[in-house]
Amino acid sequence: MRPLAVVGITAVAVGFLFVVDRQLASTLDLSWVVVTLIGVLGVLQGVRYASARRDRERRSTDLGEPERRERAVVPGADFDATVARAASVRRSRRRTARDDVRSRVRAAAVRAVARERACSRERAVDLLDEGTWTDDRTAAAFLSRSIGYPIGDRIRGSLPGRSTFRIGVSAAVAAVERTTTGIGSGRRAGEEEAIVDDRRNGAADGTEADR
Amino acid sequence: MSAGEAGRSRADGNPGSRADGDRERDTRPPTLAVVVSLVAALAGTVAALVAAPTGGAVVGASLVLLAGGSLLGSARVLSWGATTGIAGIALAAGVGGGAEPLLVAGVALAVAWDVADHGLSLGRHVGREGRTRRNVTVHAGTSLLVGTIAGAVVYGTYVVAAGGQPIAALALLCFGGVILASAFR
Amino acid sequence: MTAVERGRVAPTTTTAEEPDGHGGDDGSDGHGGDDRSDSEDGSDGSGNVDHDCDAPTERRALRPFDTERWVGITGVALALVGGGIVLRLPGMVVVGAAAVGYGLYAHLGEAGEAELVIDREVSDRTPNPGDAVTVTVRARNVGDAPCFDLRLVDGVPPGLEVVDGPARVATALRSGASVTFSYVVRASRGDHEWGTTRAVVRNAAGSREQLTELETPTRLTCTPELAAGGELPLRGLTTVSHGRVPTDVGGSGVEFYATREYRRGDPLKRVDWNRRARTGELATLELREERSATVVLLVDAREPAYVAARPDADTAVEASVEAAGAVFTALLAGGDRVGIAAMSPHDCWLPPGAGTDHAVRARETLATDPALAPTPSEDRFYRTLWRRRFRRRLPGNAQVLFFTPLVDDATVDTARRLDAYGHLVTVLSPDPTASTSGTSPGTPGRRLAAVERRDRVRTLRGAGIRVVEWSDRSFAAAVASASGRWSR
Repeated sequence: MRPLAVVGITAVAVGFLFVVDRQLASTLDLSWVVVTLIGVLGVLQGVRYASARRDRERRSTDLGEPERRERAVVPGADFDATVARAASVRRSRRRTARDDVRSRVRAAAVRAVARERACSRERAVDLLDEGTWTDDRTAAAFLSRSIGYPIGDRIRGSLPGRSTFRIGVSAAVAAVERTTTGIGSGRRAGEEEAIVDDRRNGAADGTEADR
Repeated sequence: MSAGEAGRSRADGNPGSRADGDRERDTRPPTLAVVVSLVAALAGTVAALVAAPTGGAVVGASLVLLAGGSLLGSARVLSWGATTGIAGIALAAGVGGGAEPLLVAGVALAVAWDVADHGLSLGRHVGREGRTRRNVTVHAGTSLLVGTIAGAVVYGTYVVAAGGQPIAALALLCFGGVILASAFR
Repeated sequence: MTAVERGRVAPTTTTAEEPDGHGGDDGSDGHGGDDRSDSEDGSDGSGNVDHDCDAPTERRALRPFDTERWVGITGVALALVGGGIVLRLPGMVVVGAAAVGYGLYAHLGEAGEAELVIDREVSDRTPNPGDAVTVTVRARNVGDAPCFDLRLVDGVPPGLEVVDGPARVATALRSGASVTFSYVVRASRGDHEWGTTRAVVRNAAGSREQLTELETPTRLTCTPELAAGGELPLRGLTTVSHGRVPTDVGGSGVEFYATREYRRGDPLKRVDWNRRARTGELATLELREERSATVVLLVDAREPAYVAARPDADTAVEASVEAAGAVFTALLAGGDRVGIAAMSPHDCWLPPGAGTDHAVRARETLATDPALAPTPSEDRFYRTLWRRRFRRRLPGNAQVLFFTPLVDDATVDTARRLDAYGHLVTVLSPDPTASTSGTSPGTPGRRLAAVERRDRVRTLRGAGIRVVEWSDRSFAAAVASASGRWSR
């Protein structure tokens, strides 16, 4: 046992003894001052120990939720997580996240614009840089290296809890979406199927299909 | 599962009836724990009131905090409730309350806090809908038992040593207590 | 629980649920009574009755730790005693001294390992999808020490959802006592195995805590019937593209179609000699080749394919498997030879075949093959290795129906390569990006994923590969409208 505990127990035991048997107690003569000092010491130490509670974190086992089925991933969740990281405090993390987000939106935009305008990828990249691929100035600014955000976005972005980056991401994704949807997806599917069949028949006839 | 839960007819197997996602587990403390804690706190308040009205009022405030802590699921609020209760008892002692009601109040407060805190942990681990009655009963019983034994020993010593205690005894007890506390902290 | 497993429960368990006044409170007496009769039957019937120490439950205890609940109690006691001495208040000293008692209590006792034996009973080991299955768990304290504070959480398989009651209980167990709790689970496709049951034990004061992991193997297999795909208009999907030179093949699988005037160069085998004999004219038979097709249903079951429109909805893999089941039935009924494969870290290959035995094997594969499990595997997927192996196995004339949500470019690449190798590929894609609520368009990530997916669909169609999309439960309707559009 620890020596401190031994001392403490001895003192308490002898104290009990003195309480019970007054004769023994009178052999030891202490003035009230000393007793009061010890009492004050007790109060101070006690308050110190008790207030240690404030800083201590409770510890307990985390048992999780086995009752729930394993949750499925929602498509695009990783992208949203990267966008969230783009608001991180650490600069390097923020920068890589922003680059990732921008490159992914850019790739989707290039494909969409090239398909929509039936032009080459290089031309699409140029259109992106010029910002003429969409009417939305915010979206154009997000994907272009030269164009800046409109004033309204910059003001909104400077508000606490918001950022021009996020505004730009939303606008850019919405603009790309508008570019791809086009007239109506239903009819599109029919047109696309017709193209597929033409190509199939062309290949079957022995002509070289440009797949 | 308790008899009440067996009566529920959710196990009817129709897949489309409810969205599986909204079946969140209820992590609030079990009802029995909250009830026992509040009953003990009430007993403590009554005992403290008997000792001294002002102290009793403060202990009553601690009852409110304990109830709030159980409702909110916050161990921090519970700790504050216990602290308030101790302050109330100290106040009651300060204005000259008797040792007996104060002892009862102290033990009751300890049981109240212990069971409430235990209930919080049970809620997190098992939840309100799981079966926890036996666990709470055993825990409350043990807590009460410890308080009763400690109270009996101390009260017995107090009665035996009625009147002016020898200074040396008090000093040694306190000194020993300080040492023990720092050893076992 | 089979009779053998029940037999492993030692005969001493009959004394587990003693009516000591506590049992009634929890209602465990009701269950305990049943279990008593169970274990009595088991020990009578079976010859090999193991004792407690040979119980099948595996145990793994982690390190105990301080919960820090009672931090400060000794300080409180000390302050009260000291204050009482300084101010000469006997009441305060008395309360403080009693608080010392709690301080000692907080340091007494250790949490201890949960020495438990777990018995798990499942009401139906082979349920149908959607059935409610009741799981009853019984935990017995086989150690010498009592558990003052025991909390149990059962290791429900990740593919199953509990619909009634938490799979948890809290109790206090003497040595030899046991507790029973039950919960209801909704069955869903797959081979489900129970994981670790976690037992948290605390000492009487709650100041120390220890976690013990217990394993009792239990299995539940849910094999759905293959969806009746008889109504699926799949001829458009699998007919060989017309324009191929008809081979001069006779016998079964070839049917008479029409006659036409003889042209120079027609093979003599094709001449209608009967007519020549009757009327002296030369005419050529046109035969339509009705050879049965060889089709392989390829299901994308890699980790990225386990996506859904909502976190709690069925994944695209589930939708793919269900659709594949319907297509399998339809094609088999139409006389084609159908096989099943999976694009997955686990190997899954059912060679194309026909017949009822084959249908039974297919049903089992689609339900319980580890490659098509309801939750993704943690193993790595090696695309090139897989592609090579798949290509080797694929019969030369096989067509591929590729079921994939098209969440990444690897699927587009795979489809185009298979097409380039000479197999007719049709992609059937459940759409996980279809927005569930009409009002909110969704987060940027969702919308971007939808855009990227649409682009992939267009790329495939532009490469001459048919794509059928569907969302939620409209597979049959999507196939119907697609077949209507496709020319023969």
